[in-house]
Amino acid sequence: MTNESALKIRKEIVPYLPPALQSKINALDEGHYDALEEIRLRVNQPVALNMGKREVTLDDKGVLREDFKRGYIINKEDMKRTVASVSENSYYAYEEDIKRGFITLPGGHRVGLAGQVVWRGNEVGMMKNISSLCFRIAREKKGCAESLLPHIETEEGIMSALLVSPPRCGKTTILRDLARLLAGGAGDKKAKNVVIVDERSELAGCYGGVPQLDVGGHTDVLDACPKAAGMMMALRSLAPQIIVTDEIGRDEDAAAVQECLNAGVKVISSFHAASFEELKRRPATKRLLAAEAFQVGILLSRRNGPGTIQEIAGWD
Amino acid sequence: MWLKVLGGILIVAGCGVWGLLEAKKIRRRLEQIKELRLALNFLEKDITLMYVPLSEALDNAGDFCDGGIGCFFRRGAASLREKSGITAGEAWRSGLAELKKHSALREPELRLLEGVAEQIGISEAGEQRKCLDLVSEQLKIIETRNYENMENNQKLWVYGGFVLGAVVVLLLI
Repeated sequence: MTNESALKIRKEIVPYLPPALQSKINALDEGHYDALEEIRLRVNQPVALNMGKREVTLDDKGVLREDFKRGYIINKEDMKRTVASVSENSYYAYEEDIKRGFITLPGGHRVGLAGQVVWRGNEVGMMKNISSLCFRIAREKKGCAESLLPHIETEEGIMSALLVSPPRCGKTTILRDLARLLAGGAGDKKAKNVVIVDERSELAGCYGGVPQLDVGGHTDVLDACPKAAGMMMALRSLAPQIIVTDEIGRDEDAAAVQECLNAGVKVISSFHAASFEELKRRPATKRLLAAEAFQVGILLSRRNGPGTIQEIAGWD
Repeated sequence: MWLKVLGGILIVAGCGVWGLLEAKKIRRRLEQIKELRLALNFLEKDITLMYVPLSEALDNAGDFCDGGIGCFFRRGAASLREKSGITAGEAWRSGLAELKKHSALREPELRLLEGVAEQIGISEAGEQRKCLDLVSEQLKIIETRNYENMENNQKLWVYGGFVLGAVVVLLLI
């Protein structure tokens, strides 16, 4: 029987890959699809498949190899056709996404882009001669945040929480599941109004404005919206009980979090750091922690795979 | 004798009908250039104002016109929807091959459309507007120039057909 990951990848990712690579990925053993996290294409370099802790390549016959010298080399034609596919042959329609460095595919998968950036004034004007693509496979791990819920939805009410970890430890997946649980009313709990401010279209994986991933029935999504502006917009017009946003780090994000908390809205967010100590040293979070903006801190790692809960700290 | 007369009549009628058909093609060509121009304007608006993805925009433009011109846009849209790694230029050219088979358009306007294949879909909205506006303007010039001579050309084909038939008959006699 074909497993769910295999079906999803074959249907939602493979059609966008270079024609020469499509049959190779389709022919992979089904067990490999569960571990597949990223597919990286770089011009004149072998294709790279990120499968959890190991990175492998595919040779001309479609066999997985650890030795990258034997991998299938992505040529310029492959890159041109893949960029055309992911942008639906409509650069103009994805202009803003390309400027931000990624395109979201149906299913919520994200394709990161790298190439020659044209700088106009103080911002990215366009990106041309795209030479690298990173397909990140969106995976929902429904229920992965259930063990955290009692720390966030307590007898005293909802607690503002900050998820802390280095990259690729499952912050976004856990945040999405928390939003789903809170907005869906887990167990006998009442559903809350949740607003997701999804600057990088990763949390809800919106395609055409519609969330492709389950974020709960009482969730509004501000897609591709800068975090600070989005939090203020949500506060003014969407009457949220909880705002969920990924990777706060700039001063204006911290100020917006403070505004939300002053307005009685709880914030659940994440931050790139390897430890709580590091978090306390960063200017943006230092101030928030001093103001007791977050009541719960959750430290994640990859010790037992992505999403391992390393430590839960009460900060109130 | 009667056989010769019948043969002569058939030759004159045949050449005359050929002339009439050619005259009709002249009008049809101009109507199709106009239709194409309007459809390209529509496509340009879809791209530059609504940011509609190309496959959908081509379909919309195809719905806006009939016959061969509609086939051109719809064929291009269908090629893009197949998601077989095809580029916008290749899809546009596949539509163009269809257009050549099913329209009265001639080399000058087909060459203009061929040029669009290099640009369509691959640049920002402003560049797409410039490209489609330019082609539209050039089609307008072809249309105006040919419209002015349309009646004369049509007459030339109609009369020319019958005259040619008569000349052939006279030569055979």
